[in-house]
Amino acid sequence: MKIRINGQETLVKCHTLSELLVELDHEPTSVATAVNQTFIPRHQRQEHQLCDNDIVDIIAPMSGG
Amino acid sequence: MSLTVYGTELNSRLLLGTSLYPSPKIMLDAIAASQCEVVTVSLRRESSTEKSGNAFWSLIRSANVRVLPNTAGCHSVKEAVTTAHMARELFDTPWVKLEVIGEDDTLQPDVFGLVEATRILIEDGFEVFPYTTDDLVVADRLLSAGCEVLMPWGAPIGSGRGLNNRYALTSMRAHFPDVPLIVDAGLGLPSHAADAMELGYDAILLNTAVAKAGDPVAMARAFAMGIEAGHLAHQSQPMPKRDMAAPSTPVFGTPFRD
Repeated sequence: MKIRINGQETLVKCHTLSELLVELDHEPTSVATAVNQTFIPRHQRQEHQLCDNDIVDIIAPMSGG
Repeated sequence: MSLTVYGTELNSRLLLGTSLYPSPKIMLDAIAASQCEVVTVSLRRESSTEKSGNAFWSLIRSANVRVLPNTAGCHSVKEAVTTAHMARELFDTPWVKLEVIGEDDTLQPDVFGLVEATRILIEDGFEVFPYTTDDLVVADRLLSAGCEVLMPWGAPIGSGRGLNNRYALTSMRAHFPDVPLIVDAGLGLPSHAADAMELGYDAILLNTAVAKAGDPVAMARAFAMGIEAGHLAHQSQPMPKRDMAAPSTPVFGTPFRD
């Protein structure tokens, strides 16, 4: 399946958002996620099915003013 | 006397940003020197190779301060609302410094989007710190939406200009005497912060003026002192201005005069 992750087109094997984080080796509690600009809370990642051409944002803390 | 925002008592009237410091150590030292209790943080895309987010978050936790996540960089209501939700999950706080940017040269808030996003987020249990202009009508809408604090700009973010419109900020203070008001952005010097506090503002939020100073740690301390001095001056009820001189030495008994 081809999806866009943080602005980059990527081919992935997974089907759900939680599987995607595992596939990309992200620590699930260290990131927040959105699919097609909609926030997907941590507890919904397992049931959230990804589709071809989905836009996924994986977000983490950083400095800010 | 402390400041209370959304039921949280703060003893420091300085809220400090965490960006642009020469090093993480200098940032932590500046936070300590400022004696601030709240720092602003943000969110960005996480690279699956670098994973810098966790290291930054650990660093901030070591400073033992509250965090105020922002929605910096958001240009639409949808982006700001989604970012706020992600921030609440990551930082485990209902606080959000809500920024909806409307214009890139000045980073002026899109106040229409700001009010709309505020309504959505407050409905969803957020405690919104809105980065706004000094417009009284917008301020009124934000308060009607449920904001318990307002954060008008002093000048464009990162400009270091000080208070661009003292008249408008003075009007805002007079119009909302009981609302916590925090000047956010545009200050460059401790005297700018003291100026805002002397107008009766409750606190100051800044980042660049400290982080980009030659000695950020000393500047953080200087801002803390300026804010305290301005606040104390406001509490002390400054003397009224006069157009003409008034001698401070008593004139009675002045020698050589008939």
